[in-house]
Amino acid sequence: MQLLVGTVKGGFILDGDSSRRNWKLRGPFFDGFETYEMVADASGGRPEYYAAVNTWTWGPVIYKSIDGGKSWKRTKKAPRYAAKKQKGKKDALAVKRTWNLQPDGRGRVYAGVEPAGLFYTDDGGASWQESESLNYHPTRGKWNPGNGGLCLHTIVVHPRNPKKIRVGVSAVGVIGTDNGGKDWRFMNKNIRVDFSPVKYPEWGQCVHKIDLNPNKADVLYLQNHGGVYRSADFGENWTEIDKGLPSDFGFPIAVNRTKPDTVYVFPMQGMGRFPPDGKFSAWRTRNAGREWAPAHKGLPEHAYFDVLREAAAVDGEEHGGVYCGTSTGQVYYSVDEGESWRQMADHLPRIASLSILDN
Amino acid sequence: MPVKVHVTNMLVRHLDTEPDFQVQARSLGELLEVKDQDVEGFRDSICDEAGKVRVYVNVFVNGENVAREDEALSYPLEEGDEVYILASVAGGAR
Repeated sequence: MQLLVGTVKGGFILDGDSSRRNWKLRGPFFDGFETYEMVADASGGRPEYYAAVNTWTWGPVIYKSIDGGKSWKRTKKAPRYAAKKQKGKKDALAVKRTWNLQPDGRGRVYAGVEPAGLFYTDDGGASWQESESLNYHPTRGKWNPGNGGLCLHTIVVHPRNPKKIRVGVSAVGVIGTDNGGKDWRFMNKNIRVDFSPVKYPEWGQCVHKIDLNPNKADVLYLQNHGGVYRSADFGENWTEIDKGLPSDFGFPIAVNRTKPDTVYVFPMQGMGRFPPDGKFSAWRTRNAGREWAPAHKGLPEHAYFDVLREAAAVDGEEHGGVYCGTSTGQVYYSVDEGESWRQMADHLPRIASLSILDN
Repeated sequence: MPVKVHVTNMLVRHLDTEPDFQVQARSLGELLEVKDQDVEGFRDSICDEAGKVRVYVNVFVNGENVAREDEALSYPLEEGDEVYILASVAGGAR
């Protein structure tokens, strides 16, 4: 098993043995450049690793490895808006960062970028195509950025029907397509906006993360800027499920891969972006959000860090492992569904992303 | 006589290219296009898809930084000109 760790100063890999108790650190990769995402696509047999590396000098690029992360090569191309469409435009689009990489399980890899846009490659990164109907959506001129920028940071592809895709954009909300990207529509029904006079607008939500269990794929869980939500119909309708949490603010959300009603969030105080009362805890529901309980045995009680939106992961083992990375460079993990936690790594740079490659 | 070009070691590492080379080009934009044919990603590393030189890249032509000019890619080059492509001093926030 491997844990891929993207940080603001390069990427790392933690290699774990079958017990998930012993981990060895490799890295940093990518010359210390900001790495917002590292993922492995195992759909073709031998895993292909991708990393979203946002160099502060030469622009955002994609690196790829086909030898287990031992060596990395920059892909021929990276997601870019079509230059001909930008010519002479006052508000010309240019990719500043890649935030999210998402293999669709069939050989395609999607990329979400800032300023908000969706791209995909079908040839392992040799070329990238734009999802034009989304990137040039008629409402685009009115989209507002979140504090992290106007970024498309979440991509969810339906495991059984890859034409159904949901993306999360801050601060625009959930946008979805059911026909492989020909048309996109807003899917924010019942999701609250606390920073608008209209509490439930069609769009303008600051969605932070969406996750699902592939075996119950129509059910989505969403951590919003304010509120945690569940959808039973792949985003058509949402129900707020945060009663009992110490804060409805947080960034990541993760669904246990073997128990689809078990979900983890990491609540933060809204303004300070640190754990409520400094007591760091995952919060877990075992019944799809009806009840939540803290899961903090082994986690620090005086902590003033954050867990960023991409910095939580779950594995596919029977007693589902849960992993989280902090903004101060620690990785904590549990191999018993959150009952107890251990520290896997410390003194890393600010952690932007975690991703698991199961055995 | 072509234009002489020198690039920072950071870019040499990033693109696996040589630090010093010569190019036949009549403008900065043409220089990037020509070199991009040899070293894929060269143009994209220097300027974005909107045609702007990237914020933390400086391009000196005979000692003058032209990177922030409105139409930097149109900046004319002549035989014998010396071009330096460097990363600016940045990174304090990291």
